[in-house]
This record gives sequence, structure tokens and C-alpha cells, in this order.
Amino acid sequence: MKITFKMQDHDTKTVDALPGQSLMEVAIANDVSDVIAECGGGAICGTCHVKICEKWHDLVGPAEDFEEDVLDSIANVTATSRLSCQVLLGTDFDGLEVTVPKA
Amino acid sequence: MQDPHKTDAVIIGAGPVGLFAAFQLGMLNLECHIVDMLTQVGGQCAELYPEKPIHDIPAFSKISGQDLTDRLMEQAAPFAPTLHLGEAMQQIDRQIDGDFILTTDTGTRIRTAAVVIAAGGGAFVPKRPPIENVALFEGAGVQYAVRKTGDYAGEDVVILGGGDSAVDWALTLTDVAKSVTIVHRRPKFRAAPEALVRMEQAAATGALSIVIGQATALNGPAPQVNSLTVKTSDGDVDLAASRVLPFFGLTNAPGPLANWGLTMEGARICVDPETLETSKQGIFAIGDIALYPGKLKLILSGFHEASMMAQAVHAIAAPDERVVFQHSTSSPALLRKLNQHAGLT
Repeated sequence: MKITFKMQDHDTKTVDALPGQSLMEVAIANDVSDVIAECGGGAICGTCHVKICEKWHDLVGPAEDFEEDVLDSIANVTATSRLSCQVLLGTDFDGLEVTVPKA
Repeated sequence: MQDPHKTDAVIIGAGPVGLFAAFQLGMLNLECHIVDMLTQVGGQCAELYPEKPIHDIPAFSKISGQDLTDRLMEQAAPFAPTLHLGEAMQQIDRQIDGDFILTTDTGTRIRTAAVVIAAGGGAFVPKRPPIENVALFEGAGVQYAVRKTGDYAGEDVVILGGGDSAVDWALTLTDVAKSVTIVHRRPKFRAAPEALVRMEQAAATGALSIVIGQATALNGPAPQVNSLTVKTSDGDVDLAASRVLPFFGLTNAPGPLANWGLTMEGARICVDPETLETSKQGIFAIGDIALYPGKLKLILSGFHEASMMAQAVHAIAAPDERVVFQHSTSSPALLRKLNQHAGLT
């Protein structure tokens, strides 16, 4: 399946991914700048913030409480913000588009 | 000045890897001290996610951070590591004979043959709010902890965050402050139900105000704050604020170790994977803070590194003693210690 990361500088990157991978893993494997994932996927540091594009938001679903707590402490959070380490790709996520805010 | 403590190794960081390092050093008949800036052992596991199950510790399909910490303490207990909790490492001085003298911020001095950095993600510091120029206001208009509630008498206090600390301090400060406003990104607060009821009551009587939105700018002649701009669903609002208290929990920062002149890559310390020694002889790094080709940030890998490190430290701390590799099931020295600890001798 394909995932598209849209960067702040209007650059976009469309990459291959597999169901079951986290969105963060896909970003790191493909050197998506501004996805840093300092804590390695523990939903602690908030450095893997992405915004799910509106039309995908319902399918991807909302953040859980512990994830919201981390989102509280980072900048430019919107209603579709997620920590990419907590988004596991489902089989029906082919074509998913997310925006990566500046780290 | 008091004579320093004397030991074979000082472990910086009482997280799981630091605690297991005390056990592995003990297995080789080496003594150690453990220093941690937190007031409890367990490091990140106990501080940030004590209840979260960990699933990749061998032989445990799941174990909580607190349980893991308790068991590691129990395992290291026969070797009686000396703990210095609530103390931050401040200074390291190499002596002519190769030993180090370490000094903590509370004045504890320890003379040691080897230093083992097991500091994980680094020192714990309060998370900064996502406001660009916040650093300019820290210590004056922006404060991360309440020391004396009296300091807030007559102040317009704005509290940022929606967790226990934010809600509890908001309620406490309504007694002394001129005004208290709590700013949170979403309507849902995460605090004790009883505290939430009191917060709603206080809001109903006007004792405190609740604003849902994200703080975006601090205004004032820094470091003094006059107001805080908050982005809400109705647009930007400016709140009167003379003291802003962000309560977003703790995060990791490199801390003073970054100034020890060790070869680093970002916030991590480069080591030789065979010995876990850093670029300075006698100083070792293990666990999440260590970096070598293929390094995995797993507790499991930290345990392995602790055992490798112990062998290398032995060569420094007890150079005349030959290490005979022993399994823990049959080591006479270990069995003697364990029996002593259990009161069987």
C-alpha cells in the first residue's frame, strides 16, 4: 500500500508500507523529515506528530486518552492530530495522506 | 571536606538497566553506588509509566514498570548497592591514579574506579509549553513548580494543562491569587473525580475560569508576563496573566552529562560495543543512552550491555583478580551472598 506524507515546505513523499506497521515506522524508514520519534514509539515524547487528512480521519480514528495527554504538550495540535507511533496501518489504509508539521 | 565514599563503580541512573548493572557488578564481586536525580528507583519505567505493561522482558508475557523495578531491586539486594536518590550528578574529576571523584548537587562525593552512565533518555525536566519564546520568561513570569503558595498572592495566575497537577494547583491557588484561569486544549480534564467536581463548583462561583484553547504567545517585557494569548474556537483571546504555570509533565533532556567531553551523537553517548566504554577510559554507558552500530533501545539490550560492561569494569577495578566466568546457578561466591542475604548462614 501507499502512504503520502505532506511536508510543511509543500514537498510530498509517497512511500510503500505494509499493514500492521505504525505510521511512525514508515516515516522513519523513509527519512520523512520532522518525524523524529525520540522515545521510539512509547507515546511519551510527542516528536512524531502528524495530522491525518480530513477524509481519512474517521477511518484512522481518534487518539486515546494517554495519547491526548502527550498532544496537550505540543504545538499546533488540531482535531485530526495523532502521534504517528500510535497509528497502526490497517489493510484499508492504502492511499492514506497525512501532513507533517514542522518539528 | 568529608572523605569521599569509596567504591568500584558509580552507576548514574537507577532505571532498570542501572539496577541490573548493580547485580552484574555484584556477581563479579564489585561494589557500587547508584545515583539518581529522581527520589525513587525505576527511572522512566516507574516515573512515566508505572502501570503500563511491558511485553518484551524475557520470561514475562507482561510486567508493569513498577513490578519490573521491584524485582530488579530484589535481585540486586544481596549485593547491597548504596543508593543516592534525589541527587543530580554535577561534577567529575579524574585523579592522578586513574580513579574518579564524583560530586552530586547535594555535596555527596564518591571515589570510584569506574563510572557507568545508565541515564536512559537523560535528566527529567518539566515539559515546556509549545510557545516559541517561552525560555525568555522562565523563572519569572513562567514557573514550572509552585514552591510557596504565598508567592502568588495578588497575582493573575494562568495554569496550562489538564492533568492532576494542573487541576490541583488551580484549586489551591484560588485561595491566594487575585485570579486563576486554567487553559486546556480540550474540554476533558484528567484528574481525580473529586477534584473535577470542585473545579466545576469553583468555575460556577467565579473563583476560577476555564478556557478551552491552546496558549500561543506570552506578552510582556520578558521575563515579566502581562498577558497570554490563547487560540480558542472563537479566535484569539488575551488573558491577563502575571504568572503562567505550565503543567505538562516531565520529559527527558541530555542534562549535565552532555558537558563531560564524551564523544556523542545528538543526545546519545558513543561506546565500544564490546566493552560499553565511552571515548574516555573508565567511563561506560549502557542502556538507551548508549549508541553503537545496531543498537536497539530495549530494556533487554540494556541488560546485556550491563553484563558486558561488568566484565570490562572488573579489569579496571580489580586488575589483579582473574575473572572465572561462572553461571549464576553454580557460583559459590554468589550462593554465599544470597544465603547471607536470606539469613541462612
